[in-house]
Amino acid sequence: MRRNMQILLAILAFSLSLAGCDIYEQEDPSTYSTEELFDAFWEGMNTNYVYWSIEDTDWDDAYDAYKANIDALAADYDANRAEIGREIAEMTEDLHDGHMNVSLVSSSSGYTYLVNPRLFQILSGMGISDPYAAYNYTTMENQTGGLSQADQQWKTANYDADDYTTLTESDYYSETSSRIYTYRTNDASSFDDSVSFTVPSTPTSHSSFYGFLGRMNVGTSSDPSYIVYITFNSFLFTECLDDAQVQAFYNTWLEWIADDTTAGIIVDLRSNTGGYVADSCYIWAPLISSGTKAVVGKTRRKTGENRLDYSTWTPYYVQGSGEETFSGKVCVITNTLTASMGEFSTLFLKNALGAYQIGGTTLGGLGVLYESADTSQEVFAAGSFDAGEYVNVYMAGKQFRAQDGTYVDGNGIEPDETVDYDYNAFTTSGTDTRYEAALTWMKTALGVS
Amino acid sequence: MKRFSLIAALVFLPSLLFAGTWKVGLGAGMTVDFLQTSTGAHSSNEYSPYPGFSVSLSAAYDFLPYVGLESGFSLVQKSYKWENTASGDVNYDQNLFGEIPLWVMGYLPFGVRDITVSPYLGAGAWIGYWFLHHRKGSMKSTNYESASDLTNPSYSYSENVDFDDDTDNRFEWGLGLRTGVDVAIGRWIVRADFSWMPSLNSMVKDYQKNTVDRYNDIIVFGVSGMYAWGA
Repeated sequence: MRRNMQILLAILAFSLSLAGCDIYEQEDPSTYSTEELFDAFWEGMNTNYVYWSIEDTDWDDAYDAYKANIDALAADYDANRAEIGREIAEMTEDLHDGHMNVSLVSSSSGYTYLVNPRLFQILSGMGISDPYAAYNYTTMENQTGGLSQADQQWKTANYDADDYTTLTESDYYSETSSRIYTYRTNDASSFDDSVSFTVPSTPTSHSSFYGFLGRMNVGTSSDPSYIVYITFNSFLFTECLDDAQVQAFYNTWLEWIADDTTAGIIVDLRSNTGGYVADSCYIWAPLISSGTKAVVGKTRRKTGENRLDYSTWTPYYVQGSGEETFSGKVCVITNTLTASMGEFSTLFLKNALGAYQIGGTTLGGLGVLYESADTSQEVFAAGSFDAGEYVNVYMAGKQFRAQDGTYVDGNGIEPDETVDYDYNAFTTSGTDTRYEAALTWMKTALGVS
Repeated sequence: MKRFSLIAALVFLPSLLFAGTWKVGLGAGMTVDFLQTSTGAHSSNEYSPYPGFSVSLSAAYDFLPYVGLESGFSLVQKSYKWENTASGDVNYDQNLFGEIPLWVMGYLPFGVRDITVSPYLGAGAWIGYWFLHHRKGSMKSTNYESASDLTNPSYSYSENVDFDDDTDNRFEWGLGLRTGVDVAIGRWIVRADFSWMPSLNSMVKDYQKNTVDRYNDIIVFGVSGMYAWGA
């Protein structure tokens, strides 16, 4: 019996030592060497990417398929950056996160190669044969500072006139918020009242921020009935409300949406790529009555290191602050570059106010970002991270699911009425078919000509 | 079924050889789960023990006054707390298992007047099945509720979580050590027990490269009442 007990205890001790030894310890991807960038990228994605639950991409297979190639290329990172980017573009081509953007920065000087899976999916859908080359070619054109000789050679070798033309004439590239702003301000006389603002460099993000707000009377002078039109390029009110122009714009918005003579609102979110979540408290909350909680969807975060270690879903909503919910007609205009808070706002306007969506399908990037790569990596085990010294991965830190259970990321929000973008009409004569369609819809909905 | 038959055979076979003592009992206790896992480089994520409970129905056969076998069925809640110290998010996982242990028990009985006191040591193994995953806690919402107070409101929840066949390993097994004391007055026995029952397999299936495992590692403080008959 004593011998048996000794054997049992020995087995017990051995088994416990086995149990305590084999828990995998993930290292911080930013601490990997440049030569190890594949492992850093793969590991960081494995833990920090938040949409694994809806992906068809087998990330383990990607490891086996790409590790040898990228390891070999990373041995001479600067010379092979463009090719490493292409390999990463292939690895990630089916991923859904619309915010995801991989930057391959030069260790000395030169162009930063970019991989944006969701955008490449859209460009591919436009008929662009080589989205990676077409996108990097066009962004190289905006590069401040010179390109290295290697970058110049890559650009020349990958130039494709058809791809280039298709991209530059797309709504993604040319239906810009600045053009929309310019056309509206130039055409301010078509509104009865208008106000606009321009902030060249915002206090925190140092982005340019501009917007136009106008209203036109479609009733009579004695019995006015207004259509209010609003557009702005980003959600940066949270950091810009101290600016006198922005303040005037915002106060006018509050005044008009509370005015009984406002019968309809057109919200133009084309090429609005997002910004502060808190902006919904300023811009959208006054449209619904206080006490109303307009749930747009749900978000969840990661709570562990494995791909599918998720938290509970938490509701993502706008808490009303208005005296009453706006009861008039609402139309929202969107395009390929309506993204993130632009998409959250589109869903809010549709869900809470029954808005009619006109234009193009939105980009499909509504996951929630954390403040910085450091915050994401060190604090939340989700979202942006650095893979070694020169590769930065920007992506969502929380997964978003719409109230109807669908995912906006990787899909976008389809309009109720698709209105095609007309490059020549828009860029040469300023004819804005999507705006005109929205105005026509609104007048019809209000029963005016 | 085969496992149950084997356990039953191990418990009952000695009774054919020895005219020993049978005992049956009911017990309850408190568990503490020292989850064994890794948070990698994410130092803001912390796991810590959180109390759970156990209830058990036990049957034992002492084929000598100082040696016996014990088995039974237990409901064991293994709970732990996950916290993100930076955000203040807190989640409590409360995992309920059904377990069948088999213990080899060694007693050192001595008498004090009409009372028999039996300190004991036990060693054994157990199998379990994870059949309920409940979680509760609070998470910061993504949105804000007021322009005058730009802090994310907390969202509290308490919910059962559906099992995922791809990721959740619901079968569990492990080894155990226990110690305690039985106090017998006539045929009735009161037991105070302390046991350590580490799991030897992960709650997470190996569904990806570099899976970070989660091993339950519980201690149990329990009391039970037993009734004895036989020699």
